[in-house]
Amino acid sequence: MTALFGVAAGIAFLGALGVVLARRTLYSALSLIVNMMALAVLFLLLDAQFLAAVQVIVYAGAVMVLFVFIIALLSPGAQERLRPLELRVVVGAAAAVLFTVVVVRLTLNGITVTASGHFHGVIGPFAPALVDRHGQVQTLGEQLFTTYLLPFEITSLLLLVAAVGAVHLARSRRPEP
Amino acid sequence: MSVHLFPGFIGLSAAMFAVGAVGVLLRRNPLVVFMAIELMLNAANLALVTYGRFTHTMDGQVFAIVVITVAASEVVVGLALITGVFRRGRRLDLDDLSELRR
Amino acid sequence: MTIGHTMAAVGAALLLGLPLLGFLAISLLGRRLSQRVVRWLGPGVVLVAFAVVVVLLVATLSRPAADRSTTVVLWQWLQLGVPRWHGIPGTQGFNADFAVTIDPLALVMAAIITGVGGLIHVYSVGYMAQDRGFNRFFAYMNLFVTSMLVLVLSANLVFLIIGWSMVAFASYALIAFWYERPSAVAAGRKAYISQVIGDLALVLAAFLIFINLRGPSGRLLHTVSLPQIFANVGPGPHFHAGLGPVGGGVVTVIGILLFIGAAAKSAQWPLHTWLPDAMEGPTPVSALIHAATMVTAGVYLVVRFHPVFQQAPVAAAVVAAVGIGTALMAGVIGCTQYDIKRVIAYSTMSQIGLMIFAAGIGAYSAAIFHLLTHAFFKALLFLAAGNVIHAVGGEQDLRRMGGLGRRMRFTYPAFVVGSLALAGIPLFSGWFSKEELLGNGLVLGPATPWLWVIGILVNVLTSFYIFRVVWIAFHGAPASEAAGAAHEAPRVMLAPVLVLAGLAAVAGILNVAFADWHPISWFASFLRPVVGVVRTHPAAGADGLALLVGTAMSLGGLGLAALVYQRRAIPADLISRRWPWLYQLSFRKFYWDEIYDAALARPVLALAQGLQRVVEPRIFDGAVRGVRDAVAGLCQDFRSFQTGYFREYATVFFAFAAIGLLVLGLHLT
Repeated sequence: MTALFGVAAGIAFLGALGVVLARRTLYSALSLIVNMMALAVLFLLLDAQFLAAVQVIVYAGAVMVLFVFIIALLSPGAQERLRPLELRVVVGAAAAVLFTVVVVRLTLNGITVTASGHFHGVIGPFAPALVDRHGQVQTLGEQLFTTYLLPFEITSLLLLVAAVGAVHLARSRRPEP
Repeated sequence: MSVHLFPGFIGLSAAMFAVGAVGVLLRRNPLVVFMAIELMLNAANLALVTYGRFTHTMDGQVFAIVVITVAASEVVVGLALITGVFRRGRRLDLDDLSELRR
Repeated sequence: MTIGHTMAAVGAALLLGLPLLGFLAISLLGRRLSQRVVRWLGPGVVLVAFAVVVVLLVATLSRPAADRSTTVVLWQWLQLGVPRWHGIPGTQGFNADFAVTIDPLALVMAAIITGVGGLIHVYSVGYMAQDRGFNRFFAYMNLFVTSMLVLVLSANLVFLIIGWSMVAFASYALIAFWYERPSAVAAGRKAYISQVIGDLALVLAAFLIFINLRGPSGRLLHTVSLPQIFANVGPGPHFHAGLGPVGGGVVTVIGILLFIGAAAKSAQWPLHTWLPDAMEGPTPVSALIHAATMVTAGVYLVVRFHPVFQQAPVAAAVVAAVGIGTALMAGVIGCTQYDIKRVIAYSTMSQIGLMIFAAGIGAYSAAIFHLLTHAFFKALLFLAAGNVIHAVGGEQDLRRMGGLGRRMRFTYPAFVVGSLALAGIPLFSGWFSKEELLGNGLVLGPATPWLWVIGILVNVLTSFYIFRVVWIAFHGAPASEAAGAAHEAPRVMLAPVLVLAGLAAVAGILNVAFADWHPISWFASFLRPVVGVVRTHPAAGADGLALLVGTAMSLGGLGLAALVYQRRAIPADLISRRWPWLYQLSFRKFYWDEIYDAALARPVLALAQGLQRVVEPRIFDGAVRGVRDAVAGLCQDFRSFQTGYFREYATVFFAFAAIGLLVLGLHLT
């Protein structure tokens, strides 16, 4: 488990670096796909099988295909790149490291673990074993359509708005004089 | 999945988020900026699912799904915008787009 | 045939659904529907609904008297608070079902609405044939019938109020039907405002009932269901049961609020001024709304809520006094008006006043019986007047008519039949109902003999003013060219008039119940399960006396009218010369419009203008301008931060986010 996590986390992090550092836009996109695949593996490790599938299908599939398609359409080619020793890059990297450390410190602050390997304190009813017995997708679906019905409906509205907006933006109009 | 990997997940999430943020700040290509934003959203998703898994709730996964939806709609609108800008004969450079000032 | 739940549900659904279907079809399809289709569809749905009422009536009559009331839930609309499936039926939360009650009272009202309403629809086919808004007219009419049926069938306060307000809207739309005329629009607005005052009072009454009604054990019921309210309103074993003790404050306030609602609908003082103005609408509207159905809704409300009024003697006395007062006032006004429709409108106000009086003193079945016969003869009078107006080319002024009797061979006798019924001449339907009503007035109620004397006086006035119309309009020489060239109405407009004339003549036999020569009082016994029996008969023979005096007075009024306008033995301007103030008081309708104008309209207008001159520019505009200036100044100061570079904005954003995170971290550790 730990080894698998290490490998997947490493690939994910390298992918993330690749997105930001790659010189060609297409390489950035490919790195992002790698990152997302690795994240799907991590989701599997976290007992979120359905989400892993969604990650692969929606993100790595649909969204990234759209990205790659647009890149091919616009063919921006090579552009600026970040040189490792440039001042702003160094400052950025330092800030990123600082951020990570602070977040991890803050997160672990105050968390205690019980003997059985759970968080001490607030624990919900959805133990992984229970969820597996009931069915991952069933549980998620029930939650989505009962407890979280309002966010779900609002999300659907958002999708509609996005679709309308995209159609409006992409509509061809006469070029400005 | 034992709880000792929890710091690892959170650390990875934070690191991805930081890298994405740096990318947003430093890159000038709008497409790359967009991908960096996707990276940050993914980092947030990872944190959500991690917390959900270790506190035995479904909230994390539900909101991860919502985030994925939001990201998808954002990509649709954003890419449409970028295409529109490019069609007007601009270069793909955020620093060229400073009309917000006027 | 019995009336089970299924039948009641199906019947009610058909009854409400058919006119609604007509309204939806005509209004949604609009001009695409040809006039030829609407001509059949509009009246058709109402007449089929009438057939449904007849079936339900027959089914109800075949039940034993104690078992004639059926309440069915058509659908469950609102369930708030503790839901029903928690096993506490409707006690904790607020449950409003769309439930209908099929009982004798509702059926009588529904029969009037769909029966008389259907005839008026048929009449409208002829009357409105040349109008551009033919389809729109029938859409509104069907909507009105739907609303009225919702109002009378509802077994629930919420839907009663919904029906009540829908009626108000439909009447507004119909009164202001000819929206090119400013006077029609103003009349519609006036009617609607009066209605809204009534709606408000009714809603307040409903709230008070909802928060105050207690069950037998003294626990708050929090119910809006009418059967439940009526079952619990009386005093119970527990001290706090119902709405408190008889004559208590709460129940009196509720009674008065209910009556304000009723007064707005029924054009009773002080909310009566809209009714005469509403004559701006097309004549079939006047017949449907202002004679047969809408204005009687107030009577229906008082009768329907009689358990409440029986707990509130003071409120009931107010009802009776206002009713008889309005009857007298409207009768006096009716004697001097020259607009044929306005005379009939004031007569309506006066007759409704009598009904309200009867409902106030507890003679419920007499009130409803007079409502029924009144629906017949008053719709008849309006429709016949419509024929007259049609014949003389839109002229409504009596002084420009005259001699029409010879040219309108059918309308004239029909109008006379309606007048005889209205005046209460023996053996016509109005005689039976009005004399019963006044007879009850003598033996029941508070301050009995005096209210009865006023009622008798109203009798004189009624027969006087309606025969004044008969003689001025139909006799003598034509007073204008149009009157000379008048012609009889087309057949489609005559048929409903003649049917109504027949009903107005003979409907009295439904309830022959005078004195002691005994009674084929079908009508009263039919209503008895709902409204109970008249309480006491203290003085045997008193109602016999009432009958004799009342009849004599009606005939006297007729004779007086004959002397003034036929024989000309008494000059018509006697009163205006002797007591000009009395004539002016009547002619100016007791100055109520002027009083409202001076007391309400002008102060409010002055206040609004004052606000506009002072408060608006200084305070509101000033505040807005101040905010604008402040923002503009700030923007000037902050402009330099605006570079337009996306990445700089993002950097600032992230920097502040990081600062926030650090502060949070310091706070936690």
